[in-house]
Amino acid sequence: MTPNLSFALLLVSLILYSGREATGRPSWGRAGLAALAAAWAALTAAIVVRWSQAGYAPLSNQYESLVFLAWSFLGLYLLFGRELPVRAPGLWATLATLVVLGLGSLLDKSVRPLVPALQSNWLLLHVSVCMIAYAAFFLSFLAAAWALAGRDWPSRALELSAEEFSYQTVSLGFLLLTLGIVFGSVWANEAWGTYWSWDPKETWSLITWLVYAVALHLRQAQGWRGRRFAAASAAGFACVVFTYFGVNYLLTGLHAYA
Amino acid sequence: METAEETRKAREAATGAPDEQGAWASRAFATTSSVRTFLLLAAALLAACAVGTFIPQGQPPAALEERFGPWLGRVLGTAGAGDLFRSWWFNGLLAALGFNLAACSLRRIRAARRRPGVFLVHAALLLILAGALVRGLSSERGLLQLKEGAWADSFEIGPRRHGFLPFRVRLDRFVVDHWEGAAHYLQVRVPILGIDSVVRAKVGERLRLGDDAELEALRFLPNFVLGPRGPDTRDQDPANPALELAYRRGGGERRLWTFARFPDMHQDMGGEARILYQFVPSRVRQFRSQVTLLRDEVEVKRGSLHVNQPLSHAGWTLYQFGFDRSDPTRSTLLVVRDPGVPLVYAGFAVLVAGLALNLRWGRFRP
Repeated sequence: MTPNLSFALLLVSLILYSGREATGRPSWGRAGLAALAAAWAALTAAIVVRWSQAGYAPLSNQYESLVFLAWSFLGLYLLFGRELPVRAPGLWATLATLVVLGLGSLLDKSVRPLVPALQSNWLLLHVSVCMIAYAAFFLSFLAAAWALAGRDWPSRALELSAEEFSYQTVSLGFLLLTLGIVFGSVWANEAWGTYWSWDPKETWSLITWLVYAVALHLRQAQGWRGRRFAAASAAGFACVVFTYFGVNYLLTGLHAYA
Repeated sequence: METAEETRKAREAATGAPDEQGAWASRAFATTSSVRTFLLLAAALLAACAVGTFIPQGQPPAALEERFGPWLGRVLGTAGAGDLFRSWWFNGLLAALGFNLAACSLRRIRAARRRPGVFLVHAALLLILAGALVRGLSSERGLLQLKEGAWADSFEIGPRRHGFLPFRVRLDRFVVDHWEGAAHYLQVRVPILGIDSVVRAKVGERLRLGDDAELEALRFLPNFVLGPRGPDTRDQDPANPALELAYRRGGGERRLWTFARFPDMHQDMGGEARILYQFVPSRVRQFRSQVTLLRDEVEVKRGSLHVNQPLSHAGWTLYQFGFDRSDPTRSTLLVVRDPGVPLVYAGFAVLVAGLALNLRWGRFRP
């Protein structure tokens, strides 16, 4: 089973959510949510099947991590994201997941034996936690993007709710990113004899961590709310994108297999 | 705990005179411990880190001049950009951040009871920086290359620099496991027989080409060289893979060498056939060293190590670093002694605990 079934269900969800926006009928939205949940279940099955075929957690290359990122993002959205008080959250979540899976479809999908450096239980812990962190930041970015787009909130209560949502998801992502960096450092010490070597991937993870730390400090200590915190959050997400993609294609280092 | 400002005011109240030295100290402490200072230092650190990823590290100044031009290369070289993360100013920046962190925490110590998570996070970062400082001041690391049966107690730190272990390491056995062996693929074109296909060849195996011809792989040389006694291999590193083939048709036989790296260099077959050779190297599954550690000729430890499974003894850790493809009996080990690791690991544990406390899971409602 490949993520193709999930991709098809996401397209169905896209049509249904678009219909919700066009017709204003909640039943279209409920059907879209059902399709989204089915897409997540299909992705879960695809990951489990690949895991059993490969004999290791499918997190060893960019394709596998992108599929896992899509799964994490969709899962977090189904758990928390529906509370996001932006216009058509389901539509944006569907589009975002389609983009991630679409990028994955351009990559090499073959199952290859693991190189010695990746033969460790830390592969599952380190990469999965980092991907879930990225998914949380992605969710926060949706709220930030809405705020930065200058959209007016229907009410002050909803504006506060969205701002709190953004803060909470950044906090969750920050904790998970910290855990991911810690796991990676311990693994690096086990494999390479050093917990930190200023490898580009490590350094950009630290940059991402620092940017979000600054964003959280600005909110807590300097009272940055609303669009200002959204801008800080968006800057952090830009670092996430560069850490995940930019480093792989523009810079070289020990994380070459990522 | 009394703040610097409170101390100054108390002294002024007692003496009736302005406490100028105290005022200066108070201002210095306020600046050192301010969130604004943290933001400035963090911004500088972020910029430095980003620059360090775009400029190749570990390069001599001449390499920077070649890459960026003479003027910019000299500027970057002077600034230590070629070895940025070990430069004095980058480490100074880290130290400044550490002081800021400590001062911030001290200044807001009264809030520790209300927000223990925040203080744990700050304490954790200080622990990690302390561990890194210990590493910088007292760690040792280097490479140890051994052939099977050989022993050594010194390791290479850098060019003409060696360190010494408090014990000897003997490599008892070195094994390289492969997922599968190397593969040989031949693209065979025999126009008169109408054959144009890709086949997988194995040494000693005959391949039928239609009804009238066959091909047999006779010999494989990983690193082909013409020696005094004819074709030979320099070593086992597949730098110049070559396959000797026998092409048989109509009762006759032709022998030829095909080269994976030089597809045009093989014996002329008179236009009857053309064979292209593709070599797919074997994928390494794992490589492991079985070692014995000796101190004063007495065996103190025996064990096996491979990638992701190091071996530790007496504060030293041995890691499986690599091997020599041209000599599969030679193993390369990395030896490390880093007394700062326990501090860093403690910092990690406290960091995660502090963040989890700060998140207040029970009240997490997005």
